[in-house]
Amino acid sequence: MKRTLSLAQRLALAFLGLVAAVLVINGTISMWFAYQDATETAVRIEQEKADAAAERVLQFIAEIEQQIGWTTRADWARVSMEQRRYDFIRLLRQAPAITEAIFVDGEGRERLRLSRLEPDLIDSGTDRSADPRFVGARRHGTWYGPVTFRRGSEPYMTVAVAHAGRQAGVTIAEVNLKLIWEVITAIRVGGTGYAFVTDTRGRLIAHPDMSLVLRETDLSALPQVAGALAASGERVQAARGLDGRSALSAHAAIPRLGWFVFVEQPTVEALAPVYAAAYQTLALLALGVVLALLAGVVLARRLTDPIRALQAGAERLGQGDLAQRIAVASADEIGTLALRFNEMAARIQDAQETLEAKVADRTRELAQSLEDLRAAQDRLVQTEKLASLGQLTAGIAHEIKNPLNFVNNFADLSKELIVELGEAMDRAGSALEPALRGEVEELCRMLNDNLAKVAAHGRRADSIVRNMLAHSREGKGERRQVDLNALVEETLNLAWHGARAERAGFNVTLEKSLDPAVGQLDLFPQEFTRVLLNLFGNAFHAVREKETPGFQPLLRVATLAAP
Amino acid sequence: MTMLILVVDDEPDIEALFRQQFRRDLRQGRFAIEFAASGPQALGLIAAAGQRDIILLLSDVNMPGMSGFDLLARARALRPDLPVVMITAYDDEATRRRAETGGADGLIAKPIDFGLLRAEVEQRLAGRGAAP
Repeated sequence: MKRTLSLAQRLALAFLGLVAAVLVINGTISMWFAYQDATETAVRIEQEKADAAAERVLQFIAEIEQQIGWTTRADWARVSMEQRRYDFIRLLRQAPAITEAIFVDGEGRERLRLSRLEPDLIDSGTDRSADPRFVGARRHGTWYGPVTFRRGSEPYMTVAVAHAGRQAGVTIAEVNLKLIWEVITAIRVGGTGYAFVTDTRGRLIAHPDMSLVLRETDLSALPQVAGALAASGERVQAARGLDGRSALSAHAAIPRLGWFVFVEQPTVEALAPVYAAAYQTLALLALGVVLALLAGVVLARRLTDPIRALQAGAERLGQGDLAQRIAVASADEIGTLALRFNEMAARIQDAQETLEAKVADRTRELAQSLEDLRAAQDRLVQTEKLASLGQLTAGIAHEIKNPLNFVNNFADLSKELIVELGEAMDRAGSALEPALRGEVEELCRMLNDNLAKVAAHGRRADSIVRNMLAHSREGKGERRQVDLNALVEETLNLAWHGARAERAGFNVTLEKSLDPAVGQLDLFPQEFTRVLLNLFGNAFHAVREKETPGFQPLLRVATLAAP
Repeated sequence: MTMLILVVDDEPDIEALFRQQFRRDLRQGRFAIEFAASGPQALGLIAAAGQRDIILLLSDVNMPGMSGFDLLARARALRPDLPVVMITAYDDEATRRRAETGGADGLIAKPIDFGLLRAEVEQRLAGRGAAP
């Protein structure tokens, strides 16, 4: 799982990384320069010492040659043996390094030998014509022999110089090189630096440690020696000391002898200041890192604390705490952000309050609308009632025909009967027979009955119309004495015919059980009629709802006088 | 045996009306009129009539319980040859069609035109006189 770093951690790390990178780059560059500087300085010093040593050796050899030069002049061939001997004695005296001097004549025979250790030898005649010293000097003018050690530890070298003139002799001098050794041994570079000399083949001929020289150590395998022998002129970087350790090395050639003076110092020592500087740099780096870490943490804290405060505030605001304000005192961008945030919170709070007020307003408006709707619904119900009243009225209009049927027919009949009565009276004349009189009387009675019926049906029709109007009219009627049974019967009839009018196929058996003891009651007939109409209407409606084939509905209506 | 006319109506006064209208015929014994206040009562009369000749059944359409059309169907079931004339206050197209499909022989609207009804009765009486 990838762990997510906090803003503060990232900031601190970035700061740390930046500081560490700068320190590392700076340390690396300064170390590089310090290394370069140290190396160059060490090599320069070594070079100077090598050059000086080479100069000393050369000078030493040159002096030896110069001293020998006294005996190699052209006129020296003509001087006497005594004079020659004297010259040799002087040579040995003036050049302490020369331990033995030999004169070989042009034919290769030894003529004079003077030694500091042995008695003089004059005209020994020893044949030296094949002696390399003689041959080398005759060929090259001056011949340098190999370095040898005598009497245990001192280095010696033979220098043979050919005399001037044709078929001239050769002066051979054994030279003690102790002085060179002293020169080399005296060279000190730093604490453990040293110098040494090799011959043309890389063999060690002078070194502070004599035993190495005595063992005739071959140093041609060392890179710096190999480089010098190859005469490439380039300084060998990867020099190696005699102890095998890395070393900084410089050398100078001794031209006449073909020798090389090497001055060396172990790299560890030469670069000690560089290493010290490196340790210092590392220590500085560590210190810098620690300081950067502390500074980064502090800085990041100071940067992220207001952001955290902002975040916490935003979270509380997000949870609905609109009264929440963020306390960030800084005047920077975060402070500005907090300020804007607080402004936004205030606006949201304001907007919410406005919204609540709006909701309350809308709720009131809705409630008002609901009231209006209810009123409208009531009006609609009233209208619906009026509509059904219209249907009822239509039904009634038809039903009025029934009583009218009687009214009309009985009226017609009455006319006929009156005519018949008149005829009967005519026939009777003044003297009425009893039978005729009886008939007339009967007719009269009938006529009276009929007229009574006409009147009754007229009243009935009038009642229906009156009830009909009373139902459709709003407002209270008047309280009066009413025959309840008659009212119930009339209203039931009205409701039934109304239901029939509403739907042609509708039918229901009516069963009336009206108690005559009920009699006259004091009530509001219009309101009571309306109640009964609704009651019967509901009953018919319920019957219609349940109507199925074979269904035989029955409506039982009863009045009962309270005992 | 006197021929019979059956009148069915829930209005009780219908009896007086008919008896007075046809008083002379009744006095002369040309036919008799019987009255029923409901369908079931009419069916009872038909059953009780037995072999008597019912020249006409006059029935109101609008009656509580068994309607005139219900009675028409049932009466026809009892006596298929029974002439039936319906009387209605609703003289509209729907009622006429129903009477026609129900097999009624005629439809008279209220208020009853007794001149028309008398002509109908006379026609039936004449038919009966010729037949036997």
